[in-house]
Amino acid sequence: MSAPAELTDLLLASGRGDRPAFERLYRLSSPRLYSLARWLLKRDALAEEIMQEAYVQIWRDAARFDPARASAMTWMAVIVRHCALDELRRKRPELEPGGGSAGSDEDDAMPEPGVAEADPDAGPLELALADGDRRQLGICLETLSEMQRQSILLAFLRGLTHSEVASALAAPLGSVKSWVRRGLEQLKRCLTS
Amino acid sequence: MNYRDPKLGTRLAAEYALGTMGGLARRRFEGLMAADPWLRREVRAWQDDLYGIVELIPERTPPERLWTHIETRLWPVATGRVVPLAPKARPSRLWQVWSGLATAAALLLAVAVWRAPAPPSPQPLAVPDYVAVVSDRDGRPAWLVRPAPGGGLAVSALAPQALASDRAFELWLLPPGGAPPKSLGLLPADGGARLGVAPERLREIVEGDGLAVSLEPAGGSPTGAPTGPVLYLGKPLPRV
Repeated sequence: MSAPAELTDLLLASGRGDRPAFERLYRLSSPRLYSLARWLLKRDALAEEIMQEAYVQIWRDAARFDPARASAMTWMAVIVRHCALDELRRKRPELEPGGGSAGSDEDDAMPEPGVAEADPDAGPLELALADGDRRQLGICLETLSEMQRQSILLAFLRGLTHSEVASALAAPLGSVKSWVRRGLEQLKRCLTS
Repeated sequence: MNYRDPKLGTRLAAEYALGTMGGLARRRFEGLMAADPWLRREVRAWQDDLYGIVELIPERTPPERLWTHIETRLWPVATGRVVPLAPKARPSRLWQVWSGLATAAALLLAVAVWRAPAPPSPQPLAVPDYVAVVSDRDGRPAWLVRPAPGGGLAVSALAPQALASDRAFELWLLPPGGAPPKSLGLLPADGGARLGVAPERLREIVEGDGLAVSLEPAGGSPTGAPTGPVLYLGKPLPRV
């Protein structure tokens, strides 16, 4: 429906201040990005608020989009996901530098007890194998072990840190770190093969 | 940790793109990334792979009011619905949004700045005379930096910069060849100051990859390396 080339053209036109192009860009891209925001934020009202923030940012930064560096959808999704992760991190304040966590490399965010509740898409994270450009990614995700795939998808689509993935999967932190690391390595190997 | 190890760099870039890094590690990595084009490329490559996941999830059309809200935020006069312009009116949110956009936008500026022509070779003895304009990601000049007549660096804010009371702006020298940034001191959010900087460091500024300003806790980076997002960049230009 939304061919990558059309999104690229519309985003470039938005960067030149073309408002109708931006509206069309919004119409074509928002169903996918809204879905991403809902996965991350779980509440429709919050997802809408973050989408507002993100599209305002997309309009303001569109002039800096460079199609040689990223696809239009990836570029916009990075902004949506950053806005959503900022929101999640604000609600779950992390220790600031110098606040006593100087020795810890990561995992300085505490798991939220209610993290698995109020979920609009409850159940295991299963994705459709797409037909289009991303078919290869779908196939490569299938080559991962179940735990590797779940860990990566929970981190990406739920915005969970390592320790939160560990509590969501009721698995030891060390195992989760290794699933994520090995899963990413395997994904890269598969995508470049 | 040796971030120049390609295997480690690739792994950290992947975890940064995935978003599993905790706050401290993330901010430290953003500081490194700002000074290292290779790390930025690695992050972009991982984003390109991982963000494909977005195209595997089912679409869901948002309610129509969302577009109306976006339009009203962007063009309150044209749409006839005047509402408070949230993002510009709340300076405290500014750096939060920016830190989130370190990969998406600020770094593109960083690349553009670092591609500027290399400065001429410095004089071997005297401190070269130069001036550097440190600008924000929209190219708005924020500070003027130049060697002070009596030694050290004279810095002056060209416009007052929004800064939370528990934060500080720290100026960094980016040495040539992607070596770790070296602190030059804290910048005033408003007005001018003189930073005590050794003459050899003043020369290094010309030889290096420019200047960067990161957001740090009050008092400056606790680690000696940038821990917060890089918000401003500049490149010294010889004075004629």
